[in-house]
Parts: sequence; structure tokens; C-alpha cells
Amino acid sequence: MIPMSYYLFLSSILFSISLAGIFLNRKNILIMLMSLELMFLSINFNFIIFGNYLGDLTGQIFVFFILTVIAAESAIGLAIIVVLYRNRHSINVDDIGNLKG
Amino acid sequence: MMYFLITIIIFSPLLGSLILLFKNDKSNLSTAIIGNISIGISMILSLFLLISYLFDPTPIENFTLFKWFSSNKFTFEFGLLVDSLSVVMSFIVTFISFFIHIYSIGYMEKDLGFNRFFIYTNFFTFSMLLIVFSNNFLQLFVGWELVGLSSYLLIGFWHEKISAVNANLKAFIVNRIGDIGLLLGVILIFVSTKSLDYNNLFLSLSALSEKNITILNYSFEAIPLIALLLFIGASAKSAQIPLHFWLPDSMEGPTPISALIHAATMVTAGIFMIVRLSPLYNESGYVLDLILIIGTSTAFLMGLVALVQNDIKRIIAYSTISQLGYMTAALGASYYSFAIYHLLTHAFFKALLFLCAGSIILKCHHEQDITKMGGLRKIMPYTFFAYLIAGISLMGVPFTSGFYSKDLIIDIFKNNGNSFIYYFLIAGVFITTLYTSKIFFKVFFGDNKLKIEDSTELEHKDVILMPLIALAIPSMFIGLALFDSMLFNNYFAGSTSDFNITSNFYNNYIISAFSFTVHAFTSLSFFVLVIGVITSYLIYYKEIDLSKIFEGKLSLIKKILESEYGFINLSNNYIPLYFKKIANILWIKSDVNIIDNLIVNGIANQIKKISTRIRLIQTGYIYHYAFTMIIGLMLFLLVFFNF
Repeated sequence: MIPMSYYLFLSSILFSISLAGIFLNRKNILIMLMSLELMFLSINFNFIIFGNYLGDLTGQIFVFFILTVIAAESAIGLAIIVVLYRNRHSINVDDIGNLKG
Repeated sequence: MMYFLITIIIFSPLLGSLILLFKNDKSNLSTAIIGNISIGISMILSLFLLISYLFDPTPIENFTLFKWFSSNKFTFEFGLLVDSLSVVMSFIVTFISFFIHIYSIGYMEKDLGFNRFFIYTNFFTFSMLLIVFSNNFLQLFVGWELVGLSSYLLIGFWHEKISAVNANLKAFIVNRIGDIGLLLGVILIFVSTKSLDYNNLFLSLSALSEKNITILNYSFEAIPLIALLLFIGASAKSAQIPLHFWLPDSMEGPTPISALIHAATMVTAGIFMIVRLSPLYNESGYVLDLILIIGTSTAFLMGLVALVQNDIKRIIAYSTISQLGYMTAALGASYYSFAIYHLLTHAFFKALLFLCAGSIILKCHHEQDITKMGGLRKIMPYTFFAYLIAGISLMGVPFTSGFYSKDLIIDIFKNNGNSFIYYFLIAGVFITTLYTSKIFFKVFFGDNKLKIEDSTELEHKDVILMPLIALAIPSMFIGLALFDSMLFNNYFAGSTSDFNITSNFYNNYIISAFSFTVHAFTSLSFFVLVIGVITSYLIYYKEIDLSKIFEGKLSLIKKILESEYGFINLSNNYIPLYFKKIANILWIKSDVNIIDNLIVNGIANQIKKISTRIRLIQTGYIYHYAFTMIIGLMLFLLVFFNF
């Protein structure tokens, strides 16, 4: 039996990687979107682990709902990126600096 | 019955004014018809009321028209107080107003503002009637302000003339000083009696007389203080020293306005108010003495100024101030009904004088300087006749209206032994004679300097001449006609508090109108009158040069009089100058520096400064925003979940 802390370590490592992906990525906005997906997945992982640990199916059922939301959200995100590309001919993060004061 | 009658009297002019305001067509005829009919209705009903009151002066009716507003403990109602006093006043106002409206049809005929003129005058008549019939102080104040407004609008009727605009501003501002006094008086009455009704005030007088009002650690007796404050309001409206100087300037308005507002009706509102409040003034002690002194000095000093004026309207304006001084003196002696009686006769002959002046001015192509006129007697027979009647009435020649009212006031002081006041008023008669005949001789006799041709047709249209005749009749006869019935037949017993002293005066001194008239021929005032007529005949007709006789002696007095005791300089130069200086300081120091630069622009500038720094936080990098969000979330968790 693998101890539960291993799973939690894995989940937090995944979360940190995706966080770093958002912070450090200065090139492509698609990568940013992918990092967001990863972040959601690491959280889903947490749900599964705790659901299993507590013997409660609710946590695992919840994952399905979250996955649906992620799918919808990434669809919207991709749509925004498509529109952005049409307007700017670039999806480079550094090019989107209109809010600069 | 009475209720409907009074309501129609008051609101018919207002209705006329409103109809004229929203009238579409531009024709002068319809304006004249509407404007005159609305006043005519009031006039006929007022006349009817007066006649019924002359037979039986006892009914005192107090109606409530409608509730205006109510606060926690206090309900304010629009009310009507109908008694012998308000009936007389409403008769004066509507009668004179009606004939002046007719006169104005001819006088204002070629003016572009014909319709506007009638809107204002109808509105004025309404506001004056509001004062006359009010039964509480708040309604009085409303009417007081509305007549002030109409006066302002009508003095500045020819608003393209800069002098007219200055004059109406002056009139409004001086009246404002009086209004402060009036308003403070009304507030004190409300504070100390918890009500604004006249009746309530009269009922609580005995309680009020023991009351003191403390202002800034000084304690005043309530009644004299209230009476004094109200008198300040009355003295501004009725042009008494030192708040008189707006009235001569108000002659910038059209002449019918000078006749209606600034001679016959509005300026008498102050006198009327004091008569209305006579129970209060009877208790006010030293304030009555003050009123007496102010009235007498106004009557004497302002008459003197009229002597050195050359503008026909200004002379009559100063004469008005002087006659108002006589009324005020009568008030100061507590003979309130005598003051109202003089108000009544004065309204007729002074309105007539102004209408004559208007007729002369119209004929002389708007020349107002009497030294440039002359020889108009044959050209203007009607005006000559009307002026003659008004003039002798103003001088107080026996049998004319002015005689019965003015000599009555003078005789008060002969009777009560106040010889100082008596001689001043007698001197006033002399001066009155001089300036009245000055106009008379200079305008109607001598050479026709203006070269006005004697046309074969009438001197003016009928609409101008008819009011002259119509006002000449009461100017001549109303004094005698109403003398016994109004003054001593308990007529004012229900509305003024001087019943005992006047009836005493009558029984011991007057006995009847006939004996009063006969007695007058032996009195000092008649003697002075004759001297005055002879003097003015010599000076103004024979044109004996006085300056050679009194070489040097009179020049100083003349200078003082020509500067109108310095009031001209004071009101035209000094006060505006200092106010301008103060206003400049306030403008630059407080408005520009503090309000504009510090508060309005200052806040905007500070926000701009701060925001130029703060906006640098917005880097435009998405990962910065994401970072902030995450950090923010973490801090949020830290604070609220105590990790």
C-alpha cells in the first residue's frame, strides 16, 4: 500500500508545476491555458485521494462535474485565443500589454 | 357669499395675469380688454363692499381659504380677514389700479412689451390684495415679497436702459434690508406666541408684554423689539428715512407704474401693516416715539429735497416720500385711522399727479426736465385742470381731499401739545406748496420752450384723459364725503385700536366736517399755505431770482439738498464701491484661491498626481496579474482560515 502522503506530494508537485507554468511562461498563451488545465487536474487528483481515503464516493463523483466545467472553460479559452489571433495575428503573451499603465 | 366675493376680488387679477401670460395672439386690443376686465371685476366688487361697510362697519369675517402646509405642531392656512380696514384698502388698490390700467392702454400703446406690462400690473394687483386680505403673518410676507417682485420687474420694465436696471436693483436691495427686519419680526412672533395669526397675537399681547427676548446676553422686552423689527420692514417699503432712497430712482419705470405702485398702493403697504397691527404698536412704547420722529423728519427733510429737483417725476416722488412721512407721523401718535385716511386721499391725488406728469411727458416727447417745459396750459387743458385739482389737494387747500386728511394729522399735534412736531409739519405744508406750484408754474405757464404745436385735435386719446377726470373727482371730493362717516362713525372701531382717542379727539376738537373746514381758515396751516402760494408765485411765475437776495447764505443748503443729504453719493458710489471691493476680495481670495484652486481643482490635481504613480502597478504582463491573484488568494486564506 502506497502511503497517502505520496499521492499528496504528487498532486502538489503537479500544482506547483502548473503555477510555475503560468508565472514563468512569457511566450505562448496556449501554454498558459495548458498550465491551467494541469492545475485543475492536480486538484481533481486531490479530490480522488481524499474521496478514497474517507471512503466517500462524493469526491470522486465531483471530479466528473469539475472535468465537465474544465472542458467548457477550455473551449471558451480556446475561442478567445482564436479571436485574439484574428485581431492581432499573434498569440504571444508579451504582445498583449494594452492594460499597461 | 362674502367668501366668494373676496375670493373673486383677489383672484380675478391673478387669473387675468395668467391668461395674458399664456395668450397666443399678439394683438394689443385683447390684452387691454382682458387686463382691464379682470381688474374691473375686482374694482366693482370692492366698491360694493365698501358701500356696504360704510352702512354697517361691524362685520369682521375670518375665512380659511385652503391649507397650505402643516408641520408637526403648526398648520399654515391661507386665510382672509375682511373688516373695515381691508375693505377700504382693497377699494383703494382696485379703484386706482383699474383707472391706471385704462390709462396704460394709451400710455403704453406703442411699446413692444404691452402684453408683458399688463401681466406684471395684474400680478401686482393680485399680490397687493393678498397683503390687504391676509389674516396671518406668513401670507402677509408672501404678498410683501410678491409686490416687491412686481415692483422690481416694473421699475426695470425698459430693461435695455442701464439706469432702469440700476434703479430696480437698488429698489430690490433696499427692500431686502427691510424684509430682513420684517422676517425677523415674524420669526420672533412665531417663537414667542407659537402662532402666526393676527388674532392670536392680539389675544396673547398681555402675556407677551411680560416676556423678554435674550439675544447675545442682552435682554429685550418682546413687544418693542417685535414692533421695531416690523417697522424696519414697513419703513423700507414705505420709503422712510434712512431707507427711502430707492423710491426716487424707481421713477425709471413707466409713469403709470410710478402712479400705481410707487405712489398710491405698494408704498403704503408699510403704513397699512402698522395700522393692521395697531394693538401691538399701542403697547410698544418707545418704538412709537421713534416712528413719530422718523415720520416727521421724513415729511420735512424729503419735502425740502423736492424743491431743488428739476425732473418732474422725481419731484413728485419726493413729495410722495414726504406725504408718507405725514402718515408715519400719525402712526407714531397712535392715530392709526387718520393715517389710513390720509393714505386714502393721498392715493387718489398722488396717482392723479403722476398721471398728469405722464400725460405731460408724453406730450413733450419724453422730456422730463420742467425747466425746459412751459406754456402747456392752452395745449393741454384737461391735464391742466387735473393737475390743478391734484395740486391743491396735495397742498391742502380747504374743501379738497388732501386738506381733510393732512390737516387732521397736523391738528393731532396741535391738540396733544407736541409743538415741536407741529411746527415741523407746518413747515412741511409750506414746502409742499412750493414744490407743487413750482411744477404748476414752470410747466403750464411761461414760454412754450419745447415748441409743441397746438394741434386742433384733443391733447391725448380718450383712454388717457378719462382716468384723469375719473381720479380728479375723488381727489376733490372724497375727503369731505367720507370724513364723518369713515373717521368718526365707529368705522374703524373693529380693526384699529385707536377708537377711544379718535372719538375723543372728534368730540372735543372737530365736532363735524363743516366746523373743521370753517375752523381751518383761521388755522396756522392755512396761513402758511397762503404764504407759500404767494412765495411760489413770486419765485416761479415772476421768476424773481432768489439767489441774489440770499447770496451765499443758501448755497450750502442748496448743495446739501442737491446731493439729497448725501444719499445719492452713498447709494450710487460709496456703498457699491465698498461692496465691489469686498466682493473682489471674496472673489479672488475665497472663490478663486480656496474654492477653485484648493477644493475643486485641487482635488482633481491631487487625484491625477496620485494616479500617475499608482497606474504603474498595471504592468500589462499577464503573469504579473496571475501572480498577484495567487498571492492575494494565499493572503486571503491566511487571514481568514488562520493557516
